[in-house]
Amino acid sequence: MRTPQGMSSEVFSAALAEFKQAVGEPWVFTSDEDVSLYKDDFSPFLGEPEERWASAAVAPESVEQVQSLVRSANRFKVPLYPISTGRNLGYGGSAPAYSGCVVVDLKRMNRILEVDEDNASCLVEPGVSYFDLYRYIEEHGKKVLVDVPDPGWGSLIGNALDRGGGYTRPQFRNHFDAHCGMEIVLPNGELMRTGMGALPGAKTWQQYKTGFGPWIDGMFSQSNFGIVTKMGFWLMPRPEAFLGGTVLAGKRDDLHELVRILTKLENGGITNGMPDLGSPLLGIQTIEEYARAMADEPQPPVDRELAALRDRAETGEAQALEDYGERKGLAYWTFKLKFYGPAKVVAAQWEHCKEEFSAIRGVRFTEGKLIRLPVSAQQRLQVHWPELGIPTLNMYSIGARSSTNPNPTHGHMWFSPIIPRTAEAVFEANKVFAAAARQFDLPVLRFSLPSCYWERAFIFIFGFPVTTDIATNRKNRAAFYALIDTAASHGWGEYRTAPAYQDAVMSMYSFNNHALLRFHETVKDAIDPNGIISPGRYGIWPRHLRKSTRT
Amino acid sequence: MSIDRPSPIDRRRFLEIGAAASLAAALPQAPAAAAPAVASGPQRARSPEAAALKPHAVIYDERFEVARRFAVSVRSIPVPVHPMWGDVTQLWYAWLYPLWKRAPAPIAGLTAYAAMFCLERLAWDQHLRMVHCAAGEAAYGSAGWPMEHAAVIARGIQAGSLASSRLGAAANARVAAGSGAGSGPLHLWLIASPAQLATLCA
Repeated sequence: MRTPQGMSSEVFSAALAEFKQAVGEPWVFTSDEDVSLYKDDFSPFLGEPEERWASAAVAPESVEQVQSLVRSANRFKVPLYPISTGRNLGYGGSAPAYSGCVVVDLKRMNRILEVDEDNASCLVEPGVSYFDLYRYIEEHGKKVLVDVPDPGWGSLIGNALDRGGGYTRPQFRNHFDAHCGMEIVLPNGELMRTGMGALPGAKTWQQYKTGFGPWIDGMFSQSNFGIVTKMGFWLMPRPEAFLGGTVLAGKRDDLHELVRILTKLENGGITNGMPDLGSPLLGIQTIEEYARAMADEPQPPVDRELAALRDRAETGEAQALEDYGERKGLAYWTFKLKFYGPAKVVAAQWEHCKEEFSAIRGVRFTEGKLIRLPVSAQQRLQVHWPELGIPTLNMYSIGARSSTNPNPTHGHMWFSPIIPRTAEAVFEANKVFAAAARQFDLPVLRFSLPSCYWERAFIFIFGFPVTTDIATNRKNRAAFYALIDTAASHGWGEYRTAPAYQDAVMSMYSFNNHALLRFHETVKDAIDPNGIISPGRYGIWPRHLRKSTRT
Repeated sequence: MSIDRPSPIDRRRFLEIGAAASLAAALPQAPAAAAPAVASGPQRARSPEAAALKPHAVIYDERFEVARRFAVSVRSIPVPVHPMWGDVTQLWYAWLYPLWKRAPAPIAGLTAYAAMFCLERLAWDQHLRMVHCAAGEAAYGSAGWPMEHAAVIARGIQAGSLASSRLGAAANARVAAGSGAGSGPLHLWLIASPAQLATLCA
């Protein structure tokens, strides 16, 4: 049995005895076989001494048990690392940010406490997965739709607290924004509710977000200020219909107007699903096409002439590619727009979007089939499931061996910088990241398009392979760190990252001598003086670990 | 075994940029007698003891010709055989979730790594573990899987076979796998209760 860093086995055993008293002996895990399940399968430190490890794990089933664990942890100064379902692969998995923590596995707290169809909201515990809630909604015939991330086997609370995203309307696909009310076990073991949950007897906990006074919910996301034990979410009333329509443009420089018009339409709520950008000429698939490719559907071979033209186009020579596209009827850019609402309304919204985009010379449109909800079994075969709130594991095949990918990867870590929502930023970011790839001896990226998970900004999501070769992983980590610096020097910061990089990313958010981080640390010291909750998570260290571990 | 060319890859392009990787260390551990998993409770950990560790059902990835042949070869065994196509989601919705809701039944399969990886993690919540796993030597889409070995797993691990065969070695130690980039895409696996396996090993 391993012990938390700097703790004797006698003290740890005494702490574990209290943990067993709190949750029952079968729910305290100390054997190597069990504790090893809490490793990060995609750790960038795979097989190295720095790979994060847990000393034990404990699985409470109630709020009271969580409170009891936290109080004991304070007495013995045992660091805890709460996880909900632990499936945050690519961003850290279930491994603690600081080795030696006892993982508090909240999977047993898996109750769906309420789904209110009229208010289109739910209240859930941390162990409730998107699969669970989807199944509950289906089985109970609730006319609501939950926005799901991809893959969809994780926890609603875990994904929202890590500020993940999905595919539907902006107020739902931003999973943290979609929440309404929290219950939190604070580092001293006290229980707190936010928003209207702080008012005894209120029936509006999942109706009005902010309650009275400072709205502090955000402090419990990407942080280590408490253990969230309940969370409310707003759901989308199941729309009558879903429609997709694609805008196709033929010139490289059309991207400027495409982005400008798209942003105007999205900010005005005219198109209300997540836009999906692609480029047939550059070989950039939309997310929907990408999902189909991962399902191993046969992909058309790439024409040799086109392949050669792509290489030149990516260095700025677009004319020949545009000419090729004109000859072959291939678009330079495709913007797939999505609409949720009554059938008549979504048709009118699409018509309006077409009018707006018609300002671009030569623009064309293709229209998808109107889908009425709930989807039939037959329609399911034609849609991208997450867009209709159906969780899937299809995305998990990312990097897997397939007919188009003979060389699978072990895992991946996401590098996810936020950039401005302009075509200028897209072109600039491509130049910068291609140059960085050359500098760090990585394969030079072909032109990439960002995603639109967040309504006002673009995000690039690059996957760095995690391998089983230590030297390669070291090289990739060095490149990852360098890209964090490079991105920050252009004003682009990651929205989320794995523990291995959290200090580095947080250090980039450095305005006024790291005033933001210093504020986090002030809060941490005040509410968690023993530093027992998730030390180091998102770069926030308790005082006694601050100097020795900060990069 | 290493990656030749590490590459930061746009999520959209993950399939396009090849990077050779080892499968060996990617395979999960096969704990001989792990303690209860967290979601299902210790009372569910004690499946009935049996003379053989037989899968309740067998899954195969019908994208692969060799897996299709495997499915045909195990049809004589009185056990349900379920096809899948790369992704396990539909299988999970239609069949596996209801099955495991009733009881944490053992399952076996001949699938790609991604499906096995997902199923293993879903199985953890049912107090089930990967108790046997081996990677195939065949190249993508071609034959070559040791069919006899696959059939043994599908029929169930017998106590006698476990003690001396390579099945036993695999079940009691970190699982050996294929040979990196050259190894085949298919994995033969058995997910079961570690308590039941421990009984067999005793």
